Amino acid sequence: MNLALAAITAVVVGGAVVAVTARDARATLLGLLVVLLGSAVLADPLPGPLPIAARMAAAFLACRLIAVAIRGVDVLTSGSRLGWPVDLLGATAALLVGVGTHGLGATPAGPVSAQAAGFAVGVLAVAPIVSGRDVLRLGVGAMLLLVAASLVRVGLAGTPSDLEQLVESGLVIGLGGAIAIIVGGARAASGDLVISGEAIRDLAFDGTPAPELLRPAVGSSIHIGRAGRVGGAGQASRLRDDADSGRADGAGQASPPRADGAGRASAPGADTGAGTDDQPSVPRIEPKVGRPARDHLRCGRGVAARSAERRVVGSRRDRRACRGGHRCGDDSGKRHPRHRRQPARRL
Amino acid sequence: MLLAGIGAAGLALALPDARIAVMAATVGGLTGILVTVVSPSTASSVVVAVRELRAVAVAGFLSILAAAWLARPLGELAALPEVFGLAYLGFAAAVAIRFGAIPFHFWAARLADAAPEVTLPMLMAWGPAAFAVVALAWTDQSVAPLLLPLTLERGLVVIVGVASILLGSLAAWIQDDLEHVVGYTIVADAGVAILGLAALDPAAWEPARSWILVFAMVRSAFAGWVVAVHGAYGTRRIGEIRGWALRTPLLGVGLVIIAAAGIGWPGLLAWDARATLVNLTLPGPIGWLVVLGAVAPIAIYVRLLVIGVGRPTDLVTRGQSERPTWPAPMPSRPAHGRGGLERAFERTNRAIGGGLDVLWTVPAGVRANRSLIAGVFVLSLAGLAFTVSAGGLGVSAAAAAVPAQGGEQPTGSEGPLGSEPPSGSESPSGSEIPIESPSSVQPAESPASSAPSSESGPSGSAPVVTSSPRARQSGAPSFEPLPTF
Repeated sequence: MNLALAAITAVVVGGAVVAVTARDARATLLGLLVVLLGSAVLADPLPGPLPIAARMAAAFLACRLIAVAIRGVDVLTSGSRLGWPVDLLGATAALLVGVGTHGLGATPAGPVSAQAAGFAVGVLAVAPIVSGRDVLRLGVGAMLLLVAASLVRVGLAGTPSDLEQLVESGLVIGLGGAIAIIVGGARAASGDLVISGEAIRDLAFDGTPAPELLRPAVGSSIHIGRAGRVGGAGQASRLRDDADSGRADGAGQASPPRADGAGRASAPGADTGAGTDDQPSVPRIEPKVGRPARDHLRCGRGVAARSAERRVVGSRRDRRACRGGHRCGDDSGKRHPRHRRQPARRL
Repeated sequence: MLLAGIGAAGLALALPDARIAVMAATVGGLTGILVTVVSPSTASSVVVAVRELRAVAVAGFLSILAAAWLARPLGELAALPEVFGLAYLGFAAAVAIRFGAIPFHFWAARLADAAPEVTLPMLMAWGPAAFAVVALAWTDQSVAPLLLPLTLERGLVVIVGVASILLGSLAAWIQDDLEHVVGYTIVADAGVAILGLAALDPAAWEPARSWILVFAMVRSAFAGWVVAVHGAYGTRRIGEIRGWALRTPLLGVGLVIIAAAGIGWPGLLAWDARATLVNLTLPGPIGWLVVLGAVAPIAIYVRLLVIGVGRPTDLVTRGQSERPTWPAPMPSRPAHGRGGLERAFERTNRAIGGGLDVLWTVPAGVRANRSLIAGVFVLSLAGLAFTVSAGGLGVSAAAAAVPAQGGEQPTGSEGPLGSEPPSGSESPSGSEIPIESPSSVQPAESPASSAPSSESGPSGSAPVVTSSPRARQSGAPSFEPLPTF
């Protein structure tokens, strides 16, 4: 095995692990960029300089498009639920399988490194594709899946022609653009990267067309909260925020009844934020039913403010606020919601 | 974005190498995502776009792998004929996913709501049609000549095709939204195209391609009809457009022509192609049942026409009719001039003003008659669809033509039969044909029963391994119909 190709394989697999397991969206993007750049040179014989340049340019452009979609505020993805060690082990196992089955029953025309890297990247791409609700993770998974296919293709059939490299560059750019559009659309619709269960349930049955598909969502179904408890916790959280806003601005509104699913926040005054009534630790806004979800405080996820008032609020302040005031609607307070395990929800 | 999708589909059809063509077709599928998430972005449209992205990525993954797996000398794989079946199944699954065939229809089910109406034919018909044509060419080049039975794999593909035909027609029948009806009729027609993949018979070459052209054109006309109805009455609900045919008779005539083009009758290209594909995959009474299921969408058209001649609803009454109208002209002012010069000046002024009034009135006239214009446009689309369905415009000849083998072949791109055509006097198990085991048995036998280690060709037996038309060509490209075997 060529040592240089082996090193590139290790870099590509490492980049894929980072892309799939990182929580910071920028780290995810960096890992994806490493995968795209490494896959451009993972061939024997090496492609010509022009095809390599085209592939690299396409990689940079695709990642730049995604970066444009996620810029502005600190964006966190859902990351890998299994953790990076498990993903790394799985990728390593797939890499060894790729080495052992080089050619898949016939004489291969390409290097074993390419096929091995393709198997590893493909295994890493499965989880985001199948079970992710984070649109950025889904998009990264789709990109990794196609990169895996192209790497296996190189391992089986040899170095691609110049035309194929060019078309593949176009595919990478198109995919990057599609991911950027989706991420931008998700942030515009909900201010977040996670698709709620309500939006998915609206599309579960192909009956009447979903009304919100025909007009912008005002009382958006996208809601903050943990993935496993989107419906109940989301509504409860929204009700609690409404109650808080009523108390904060002295509107004198009657507090709406609390949902059972989040009734663990016992006292009405217990969830008024980390601070006291006179000095809340986070800017208080008045989310109402029907206002876009981006005005809601996203607690526990470390996602900073989406509205103008909240841009100064960083992830650490969110966590302090959460620990102090149980704004997340969870009465444990002993473990940050960010570190709790969530049941996987399938899209 | 639609132009980009059409360009990618055209590029996919022009490329001789299937490995590159599937990448181009995948790029075309990505343009649909851009159309789906245009503003206003809602949570549900993002969900639909994500599902579409997933479907396109998985289909691209399967097709790239399948094409790469078989695009090299595969003599050693003669001991593992299951490999060919896996590759074939992967590519067929990719086509089914791209078409939104049942049971892979979840991503396509809501596309009709999220994407604009005019883009539905491109997203669900034309783009996947190009992908299917690439798959058909790959199957003919790489899998069909091996004469492997592939019973299980073909059975699975046939099941998907039949399910799409029957359940897609049923789903279209029960829908109340016209866009959903269009979407599910596309799914039902795509089932017939998938049967073309399952045939693995040279006789299916022309009907499969003909059917793909016909159904894409017919569904485009149907989608145009829906757009016209929506524009005239502001709704897509079937229950709310009762009496539409009385208000917009041109659309009624257009729907009749679209129904005739989509269903056809014996002797018409659409009917013959569909019947041929079904009979090649499902001979016997089961095949005729499936053919009946494939023509079941006629009930949908009848339902729409019956509703169209019913008592008009308030929505239809208030909607736009196709009666030609013209905006009322500006009233003319009486002349006030007393002297000759004054009157002459006034007349000149009035003439110029009249000309300007006509210029300003034309756009208003177009707006007032947009229902009529839409009806004429739908009528022309329907006529074009019927022409294609009848085999006009050289559709039959184009479908029967064999793509020329041209351009530079990438490294290791020889198919299973190698790049040189076999000659009649030579043994087909020469060095240029890596696959030797199928050549020593009859087509009906399983390749597993043959001697995979046999190195010599058949002794005195006629060459059984048939080469694809592309393998026979040498020298200048030429188009010739697929010969019978």
